[in-house]
Amino acid sequence: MASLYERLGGEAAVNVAVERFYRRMLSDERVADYFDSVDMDRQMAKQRAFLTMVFGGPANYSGKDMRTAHAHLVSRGLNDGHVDAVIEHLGGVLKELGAADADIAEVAAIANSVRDHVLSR
Amino acid sequence: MPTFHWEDRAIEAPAGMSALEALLAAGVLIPSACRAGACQSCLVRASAGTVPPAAQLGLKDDQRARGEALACRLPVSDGLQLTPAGPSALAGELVLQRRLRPTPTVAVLYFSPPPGLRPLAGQLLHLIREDGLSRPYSVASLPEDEHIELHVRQVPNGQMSTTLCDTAPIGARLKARGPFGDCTLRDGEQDRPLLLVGVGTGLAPMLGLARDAHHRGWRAPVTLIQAGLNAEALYTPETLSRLSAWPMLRWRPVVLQGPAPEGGEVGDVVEAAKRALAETPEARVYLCGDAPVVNRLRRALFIAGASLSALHADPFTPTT
Repeated sequence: MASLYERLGGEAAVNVAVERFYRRMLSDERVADYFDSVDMDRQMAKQRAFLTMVFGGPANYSGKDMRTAHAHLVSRGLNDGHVDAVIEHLGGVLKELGAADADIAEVAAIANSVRDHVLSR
Repeated sequence: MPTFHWEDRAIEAPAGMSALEALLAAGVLIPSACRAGACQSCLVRASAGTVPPAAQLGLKDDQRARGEALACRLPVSDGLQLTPAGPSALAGELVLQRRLRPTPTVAVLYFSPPPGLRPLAGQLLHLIREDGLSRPYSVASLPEDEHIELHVRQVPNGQMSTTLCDTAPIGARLKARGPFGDCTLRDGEQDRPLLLVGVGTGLAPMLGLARDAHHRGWRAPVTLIQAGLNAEALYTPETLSRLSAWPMLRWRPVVLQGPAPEGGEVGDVVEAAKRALAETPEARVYLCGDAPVVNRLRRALFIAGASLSALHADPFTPTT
C-alpha cells in the first residue's frame, strides 16, 4: 500500500503544504509570536524534512528530537493550546489540498503522539 | 574506493560516505551544522558528477539549476567535481570615477570595473579598504554599463561609509570581492510582474532590477516602492529619473513622516507593499533595506500570499 507521503502527493505536495501551514501559523495570533525571531527559510526546510519523514517518505530528517527542539519554547509558555493550533492548521491545509479524512486523522494522531515530548512532559 | 574532486584536489573516500564527511576527513574545512539536510550550512556546488535529489531537498530552483547541493546529503562518487557554493576569489580593483551627493547622508558612486568583472544588477560586491576592512554593497548598474553604480549611506562614525562618502579621492582604488547573491531577475519571466521595495539606499539593487527589466523588454508591470524617513531623504539618481518615463514602471515613493513626496504617500512601507502585491499577486518580489524593516516586509508579504520561492530579500545587517 502506498505510504501516506505518496497518497498526499509526494515532495511537491509537502512543499505546498508547509508553505500554507506557516502562512496560517504566522497569521494566527495564538502562535505567531513564537516565530518572531525565526529564520522562516530554515524553519520550513526543517519542517519539510520532518513531515516527509513522519509521512513515510524519504527519511532525510535527523535533526533534533521533539523534546530538545521545543524545550526553549516550553520555557516561553508553550502549552496544549499551541499544539492544538498546530494540529488544526495542519489538518486545515491537508483538507484544502484534498487529503482524505482518514489521512488527516492519521496525521493528527502522529502529532498527538509527540504532544508530551513537545511539551516536555 | 570512489575518487572525487574538491577544486583541483583529488580526494578518495569510502563508497557511501557523504561529501561533507569526506571533506572534513581530508582536512578541508567547510561550514556545517545539522548534518541532516536542514540547515544548509554545508552548501557546495557540483559542476560535474551525480547529485541525487535528496542532496538538493529544500533548495530553490535556481540553486538546483546551478548544481548547488548539501554536502551532508551528497554521497561521494567517481567524477564528482565540487567547489565552494559562492565565488570567493578577489575580483580585482575598482577605480572611483565619480561621486554624487544627492542628500547629506547618501553618496552615489561610479566605479570603473576591472577586466572581467560584470556584476548583474542586484548582486553584491564586497569592497575592501587598504587596511582590510570589508563591506558589502548592492549593484545598481547593468553589466552593459560603463561604470558600476553603488549607493552608500553615510553612517555616523561609519568607517567604510566615511571613506566612500567623503575621504576617498576620485581615482582611488578599492579591492572588490564578488559578485555574490541571487537577488537578480530570472530569465524568461518577462510576462511576470515585479514588486521591488527599496528602503533607504536599499533603492540601489531595486533600481538596478528595474533598469534590467526595462533593458530585457519586460512586458508586465514593474512596481518600484522607494521608501525613506521623509521627502528630503528620498533621492533620485539620474538613472531613475530617466527610467520614470517607461510605461511599465510604477514608481511609488513612500515616506514615514510627512509631507508627502510628489506622486507619493505618507505611511508604512509594509502597508504600501501589501497593497501593491494585491494588485499583482503573481509578482516576483524583491526587498532591500535595513534588516528589521526587510524582515517585517518579508513576513507580511508571505502571509499576504507571496510564495517564499518568489520572495527575495537582501537585508542590511548593521556594522559601523
